[in-house]
Amino acid sequence: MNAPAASELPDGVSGLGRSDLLAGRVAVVTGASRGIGAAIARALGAHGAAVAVNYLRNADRARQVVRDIQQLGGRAESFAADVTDAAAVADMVAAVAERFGPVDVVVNNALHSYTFDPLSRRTAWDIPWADYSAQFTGSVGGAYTVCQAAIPGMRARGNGRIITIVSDLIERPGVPYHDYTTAKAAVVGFSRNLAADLGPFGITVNCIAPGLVPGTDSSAVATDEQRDDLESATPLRRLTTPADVAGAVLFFASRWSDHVTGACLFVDGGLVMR
Amino acid sequence: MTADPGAAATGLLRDELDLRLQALIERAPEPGGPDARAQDAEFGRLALELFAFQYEHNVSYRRFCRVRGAEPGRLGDWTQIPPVPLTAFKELPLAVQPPAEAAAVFLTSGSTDPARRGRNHHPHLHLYDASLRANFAASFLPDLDRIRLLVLNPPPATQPHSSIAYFFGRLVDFFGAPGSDFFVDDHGVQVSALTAALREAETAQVPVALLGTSFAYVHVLDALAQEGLAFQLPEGSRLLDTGGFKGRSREVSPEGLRAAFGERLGIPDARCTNYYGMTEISTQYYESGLGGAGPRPKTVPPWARVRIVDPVTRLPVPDGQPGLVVHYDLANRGSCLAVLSEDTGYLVPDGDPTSAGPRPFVLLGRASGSEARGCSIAVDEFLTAVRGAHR
Amino acid sequence: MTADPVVDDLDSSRAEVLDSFFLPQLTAPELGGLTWVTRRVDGGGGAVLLRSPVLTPDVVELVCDRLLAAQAAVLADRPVMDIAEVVGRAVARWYDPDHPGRRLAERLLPQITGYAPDMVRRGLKDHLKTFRADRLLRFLAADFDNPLVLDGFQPNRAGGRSRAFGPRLTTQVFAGNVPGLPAWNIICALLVKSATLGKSASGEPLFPVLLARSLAEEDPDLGRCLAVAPWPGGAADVEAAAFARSDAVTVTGGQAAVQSVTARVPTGVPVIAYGHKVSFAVVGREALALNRYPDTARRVARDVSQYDQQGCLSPHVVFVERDGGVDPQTFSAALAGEMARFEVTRPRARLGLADSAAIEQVRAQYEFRSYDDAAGVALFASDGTTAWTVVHEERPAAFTLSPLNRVVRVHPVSDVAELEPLLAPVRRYLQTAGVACAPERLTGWAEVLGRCGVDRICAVGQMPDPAAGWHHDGRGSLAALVRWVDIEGAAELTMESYDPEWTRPGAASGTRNGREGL
Repeated sequence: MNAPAASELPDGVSGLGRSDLLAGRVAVVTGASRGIGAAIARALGAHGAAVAVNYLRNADRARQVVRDIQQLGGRAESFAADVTDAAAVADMVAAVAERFGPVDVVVNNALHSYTFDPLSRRTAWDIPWADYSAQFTGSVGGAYTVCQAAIPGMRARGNGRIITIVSDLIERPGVPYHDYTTAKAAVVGFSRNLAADLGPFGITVNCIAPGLVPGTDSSAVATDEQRDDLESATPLRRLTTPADVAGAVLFFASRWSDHVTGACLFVDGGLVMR
Repeated sequence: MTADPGAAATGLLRDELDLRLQALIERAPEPGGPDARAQDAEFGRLALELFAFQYEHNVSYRRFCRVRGAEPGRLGDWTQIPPVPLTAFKELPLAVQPPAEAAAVFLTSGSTDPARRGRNHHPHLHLYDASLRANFAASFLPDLDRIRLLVLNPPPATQPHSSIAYFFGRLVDFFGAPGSDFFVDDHGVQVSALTAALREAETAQVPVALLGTSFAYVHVLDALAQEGLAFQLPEGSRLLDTGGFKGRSREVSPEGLRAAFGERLGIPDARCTNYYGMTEISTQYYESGLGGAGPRPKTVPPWARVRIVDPVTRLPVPDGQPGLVVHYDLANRGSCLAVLSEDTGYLVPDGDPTSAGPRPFVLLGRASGSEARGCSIAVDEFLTAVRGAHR
Repeated sequence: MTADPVVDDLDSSRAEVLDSFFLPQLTAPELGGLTWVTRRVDGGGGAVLLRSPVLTPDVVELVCDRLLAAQAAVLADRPVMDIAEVVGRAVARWYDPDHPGRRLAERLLPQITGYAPDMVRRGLKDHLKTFRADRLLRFLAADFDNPLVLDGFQPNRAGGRSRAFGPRLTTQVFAGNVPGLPAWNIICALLVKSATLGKSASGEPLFPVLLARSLAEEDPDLGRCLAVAPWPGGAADVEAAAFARSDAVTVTGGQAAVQSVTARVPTGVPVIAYGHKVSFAVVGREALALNRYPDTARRVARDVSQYDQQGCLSPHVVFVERDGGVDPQTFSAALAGEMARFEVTRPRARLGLADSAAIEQVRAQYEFRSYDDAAGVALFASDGTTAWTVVHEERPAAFTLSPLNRVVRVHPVSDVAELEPLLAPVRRYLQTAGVACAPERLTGWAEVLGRCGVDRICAVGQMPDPAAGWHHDGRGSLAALVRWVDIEGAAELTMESYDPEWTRPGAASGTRNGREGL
């Protein structure tokens, strides 16, 4: 509310501009110390939200994200918490509320550690159930834990935005990462059920399914050939950037998406069309 | 400055900030004078510092500010300080020090809801005194050091939680010439003692100043009219009144009141001044532009500012447009310097929008109470009915 | 809402000028000889200029005399069923979406009142359904065992016969808070064969005029028995002239208006006053089931939001039972969501400074109370506007009135009996209770609520639409207007002894003698 006027500040983030679009909003971005999460956090901060930059281990990089946002005149603070640890998440949500006020926007971006290597992935005939189970715990469990902590406050305020990052692999498993993709598909089902139950309280729940985002830690081992193939198969002829994802998050976090819930938006240059 | 309110000893508030606040108040030159711009800048600096202090030491206010995204260090200037609504003084402990350590706690009269009274905590009264002193001298008594003060209000000792009683009491301390006295006790206005004092002033040709609430004056005027008494107080006599008739059964217009002052007391229109004050702040605003027809604007002293805002957006409305009055009062050290009142008013349009310093405003009245249309019951009417039913 | 009298410098290029009166009693030359004023009314939806003659006591006397003459000539002896049928036909004209009066009302009432167009459109339609020809029979049946008592003497239970005489002329002071409301007053008077001199409200002066025109179009004779015009509220000389010629007076409005009118009506002339009233809703645990609560919230939101809570039928408070499928605070949150949705399609009227400030004061008060987790207070409020506010308060100190304009408090209760102490201080003002509970509990609740002072119990979601025949404010809408004339049963028997057969001189003995002579 009292942020300096947008025009006085330089364009902060990745061509997404600055505004007061989310002024007065309080956002938690999980896994925000790096990659897509960091871009999302910066974009939310650049558009007026107070941002809680959640991280698991990388405190220095989380603090850098906080500094980036503050340099733009935004408000941010880093908070360590393992998203699968209910007590830690509850503490974090309470600390965010104390620092910035009740949480309005949750971005489930944290990713259970996973190596995307098309050459050394597990196959359908050798993947153990434990791998699926771990991914369910990380993806569905992480989203569940964060949502459980945030929903009471959102319900008490009669509004809230829950945004969960999944993957376009759920529709087009170009490389079948069985455990990862199955868990992400489950997250979409999880989100739609939340959307149905939380709609009466003005809380929207949506997913964003990005394509391959090169340059992030998770995609580091994707092959050059795989990237070239993806680019040529993509109608918009390039891979996905963190800013692409952040743009979709801004849409779901803002009033521009007031009447959208239970959606899964594919941000992959048209690779998946639905 | 310590971040731990628990460490706040009683003496903490007589700190360097306090002394600078007091200096600003006591400097009090003519508004619009040569150093008005410098004073404006000093006001802005002190306001932000005081805000930071109050934010730090007042848990409730901090929460209020955080929800609104206002934190010390993030505010560009004093206009971004979030004003607390009056109801906060009723609902919250709004104090920068433990309330038990307050030198004074002033309570609102509770005219609209006797059950809940607003409380303003003053850790000390140095700034309150400096404010009332500088203001009274400049606005009401520029020509004299002392004058005989006839106060139509109870003495402060009998009403330790009344800001008005304290205010009038201190005026007597600072400005009262011999013969000054209080003329209200538990039984109401002591009309015979007052008429004797008036008669004596008239006979001895000693100018006097009457101080009181508009409501008390109405009683006095009624009593004088009933007895057919009228006075011609000597040249230099003057009169100060305050407030309207919140919750009172009878209303009198300011013009009607001033006409009656002339008729019954012989005090000319130009010597009758109304001031506006609230328990929740520590500064009074006196009418300026004495005489003349139309509404009389109130002057804001250099250590305070008034803004007129839209009740919903809290953004300023254009000059001349009515809105809610917001006070920024640097003398209000112990609670919150920025207070959103429930009074409406408008800023007097200024020929020079770039001019520095506080702007005068015209007070219109209370904004409370819904102008309910139709047959759903109006709130005040309902309250009256319910109270009646309980009797 | 502003209604500044404007006389000359009208910018009529931007706003149309409409006649806001219905005075068929006066000829064109007579009207031409009167002074005229044009008022600019703007509820926030765009200015409308309303033209009307200035009523003087002389004019009122003339109008009243002609109303009385018309009533005697065409209404007094008209069968009540005939009147009901004609009124039903006139109202039925409004069911046609292209009816000119309805189109005018749907276009102008939002401008005049500031109410959302969709809310006025649907509100008027729902309201006028109350006056379908068949529903008018319910009005009659609600108040009269045999409605033919309005046409002639009918046997009564006491063994005699009774007839109900309506007033020849009723002066009616209409309300302007809710569009369409005066239909109730006008139609009830007609059903008891009374002419009406109606004072239109400054807030909404148009609808009664449009309705009177429809009635006149359907039946010019009925039209001659109606007059509607504005005059300044409390204009003593005008009202004295009207009251002196009236057999009854109705007044709908605030306490001040009611008291003022009551004090000036001559002794012996009944005043039927519809003063300020307060309504509330009670939501039982059955309506909080997981498959019911969103719909319950939607219904309550409609009750609160319709006509921006200005009607006396609008709830100030919602009591919500504990131990339902969702807890009361969850219901409050769902209610807030529904209030927000209602606002999207039917936005609340713009408010003036005082009304906005009143809402902000309530919000601030509860925001501060919500800082204390133990206080059991939660505040739900529209973002950046005053459009709607839901205050959830676990332990209310008292039944507290809303500042209106879509501000509602929700209080959890464990049993409907808990309401009694809260309602006791306001019992004189209570009117509608909207309820939602299991069928087997309805009667028990009704007993409690009736004891508390309520006079109407309806389902939540139907609070703004009282059913035809409702005993408005606890009285019969028609029964309150009529004067009964009883012929005692003993009188009928006693009259037998005056049978001419026995009492005509000579006739009786002559007959007897004659018979004997045969």
